[in-house]
Amino acid sequence: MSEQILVKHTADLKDAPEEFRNACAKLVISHAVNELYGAQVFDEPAIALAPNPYAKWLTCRVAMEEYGHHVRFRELGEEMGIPAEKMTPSQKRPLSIFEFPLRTWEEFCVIKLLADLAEILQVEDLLHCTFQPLRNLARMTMPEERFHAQFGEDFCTELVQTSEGRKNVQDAINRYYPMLPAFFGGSQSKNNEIFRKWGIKQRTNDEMRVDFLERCRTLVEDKLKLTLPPIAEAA
Amino acid sequence: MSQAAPPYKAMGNAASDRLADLRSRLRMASWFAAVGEKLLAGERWDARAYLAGLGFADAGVDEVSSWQEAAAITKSPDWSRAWWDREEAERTRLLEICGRDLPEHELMAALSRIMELASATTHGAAAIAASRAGVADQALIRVAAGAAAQAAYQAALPVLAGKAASESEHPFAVKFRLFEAGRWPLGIAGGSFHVF
Repeated sequence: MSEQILVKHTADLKDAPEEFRNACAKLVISHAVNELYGAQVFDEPAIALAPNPYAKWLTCRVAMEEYGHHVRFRELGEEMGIPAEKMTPSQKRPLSIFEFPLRTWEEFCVIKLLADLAEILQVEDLLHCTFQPLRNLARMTMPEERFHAQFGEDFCTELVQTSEGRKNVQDAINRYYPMLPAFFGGSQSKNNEIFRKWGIKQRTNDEMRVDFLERCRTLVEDKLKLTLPPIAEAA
Repeated sequence: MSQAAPPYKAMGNAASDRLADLRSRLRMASWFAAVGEKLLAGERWDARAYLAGLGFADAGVDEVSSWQEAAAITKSPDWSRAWWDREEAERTRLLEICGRDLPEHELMAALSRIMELASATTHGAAAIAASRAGVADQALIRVAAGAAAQAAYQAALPVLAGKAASESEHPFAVKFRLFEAGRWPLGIAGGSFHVF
């Protein structure tokens, strides 16, 4: 299905087909906006919720790394000629997973556990991207995304050792997990079709969603010994 | 005839200009280079000045000798919420003062640049210091870098608030000095201020 094209440098993008250029721009804008918004609505407020200085400073570092991801995507976008204002949440609506109202430390740990896993899958899909500057950026970002998901897993593992913590983590999973399958987009997504046509992304939204749900099952049911709530069928 | 406004950069940025010295010190600091060593007299003096400035003059000053001990203190159940809250209250107060004479976007941009610089500088230094001690705990290294970046952000506030005469004595400036000297002030737990 993929067209044969490889863009090694941002400067070469001008010679690429318009559909390829637009598709790359869409992805870069989306990552720039959502990395920033995630840091603003989840990571920064979580510093106050963290239970001790260790967790507060670690969360502070995570917030900085997420903000750093925004900066990297924004800089790539600027190199591509995308106006900076298009890469902020004020110009483009962030994803619905950020609409979850964060109130507790347990909720934040579940967000890191599950939403950052979803982010890992999205970044993984760019590791062989035909627009190489985006591929390189994905490879740079991946270790930190993995660490953020590990942060969620480690703290959730610690929290479920007490009955109250276990109850709170399960409650957060019950409310947050159903929001996540939609993060991967619709089954008939035209954007995804174009991404795959040009080899920018590799997998369909449904393939990624199935993979995500299975990885969640392993994490939540096998490792944490908690349960996943039912979810509505994805669009 | 009205003149067109000069480009943004040519107009200068008062907030950013005020932080030039701090940015330079941030790059030059001996981040985490002295952790685990005996506290020098001047460092003890700084630790006491920091405590007095925040209203915790009665707290003792304790040395911390290892990364493992440092991790345990930062997770200690008897860490002082009052200490953290006092710092937060002071941060909020200074931000409010800064907002009186600096445009919000300029203030936030200047603070973001400090955080970016701190982020880029402190993580590698913490990793090197930890590895010298045989510690490869990625989470703990990030905790240390997070603490250092927070200190850099805090140190920017009295400078931006325009307290030139007293800024070097502000508790946030004194805390930054401890980091600058290669220390990691871990905070108050069990009634003592612990410095690694």
